Amino acid sequence: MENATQFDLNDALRQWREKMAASPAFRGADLDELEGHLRDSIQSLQNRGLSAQEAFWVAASRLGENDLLEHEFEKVNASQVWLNRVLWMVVGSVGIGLLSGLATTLVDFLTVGTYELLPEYVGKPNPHLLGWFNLVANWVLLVGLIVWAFRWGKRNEGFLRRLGKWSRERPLLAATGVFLAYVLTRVGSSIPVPFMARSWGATEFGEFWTLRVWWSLVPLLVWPSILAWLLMRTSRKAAAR
Amino acid sequence: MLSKELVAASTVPLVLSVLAEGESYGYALIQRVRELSDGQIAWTEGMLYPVLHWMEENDFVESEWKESETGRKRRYYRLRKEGRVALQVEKQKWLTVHTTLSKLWKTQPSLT
Repeated sequence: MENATQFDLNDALRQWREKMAASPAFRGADLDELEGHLRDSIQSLQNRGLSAQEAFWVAASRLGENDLLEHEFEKVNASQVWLNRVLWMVVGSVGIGLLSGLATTLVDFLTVGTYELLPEYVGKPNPHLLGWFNLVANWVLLVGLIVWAFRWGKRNEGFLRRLGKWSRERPLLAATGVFLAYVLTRVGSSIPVPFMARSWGATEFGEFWTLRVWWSLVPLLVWPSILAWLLMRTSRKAAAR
Repeated sequence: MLSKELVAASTVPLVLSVLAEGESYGYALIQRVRELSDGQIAWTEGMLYPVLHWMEENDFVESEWKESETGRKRRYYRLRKEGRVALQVEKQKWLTVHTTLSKLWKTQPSLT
């Protein structure tokens, strides 16, 4: 009996949520919060002796009619939703550009440094080996940096929101800042190049560079695939709600 | 029961004042106001959340999802500096109305 009641309540909550989720006015977090409220409310009503079904109906009616809630949430969310999505897409692609510039710079310095520091009696690695070391280290570091940035962003959501708000209020300043940071990483990533060329001589550097440029075409294919996969996943998730 | 307009006007100062007592979440906030007003101020409960989100957009409050004692995640709201300033402004406004009405009502018996 207890189990049957419990099941009904969860089922009713699920149906209530599905109905609400049909409207774009509510974000997932809004529904989490409203559902949490309903559960608290139902719990307290049940403690006062109401049955699960009675408690659900009273709690839902106290929460307010769907149309009314939809209207109020729309006011807070509507302008946000699309603007935010576009903003974060831009921030994401610029962010990956910055991280990739940073990774390239670090790994290039590491490559030329390793080459210089290896003593003669060990033998200097050939340009192919150097090229592969450079490519693999670059990819590993880039993926690591992206994962780290993503986690950091999740932990500092409040800070990011304030930063987003700040940039929306001063778009010109924010755009200039992003542009400067981008130029700086691009300039930074070209600093190690002459060092590598000087270290290895023209022919060897040519081989190294050819290998690197060819293989850096791979990420150009990988990024759109990841983006397509993410888009498909989010749209499937949205459809499931 | 208060009129719709009065409930709407008093929502922000009430929320700010409850949060000035310490961080809280939507359901508890509503219970606190209901209890203090002897049930006279009864919001359409869901309407509180857009107000809270609006307050967060304006930096009056900040929110954080935390695990509650029931094991479910709950969104807790905390007052920020801007919120305390806003509360002081609200306080001044409502005290002006309150003192004006109080003075009028105190002198009323001698007038009639």
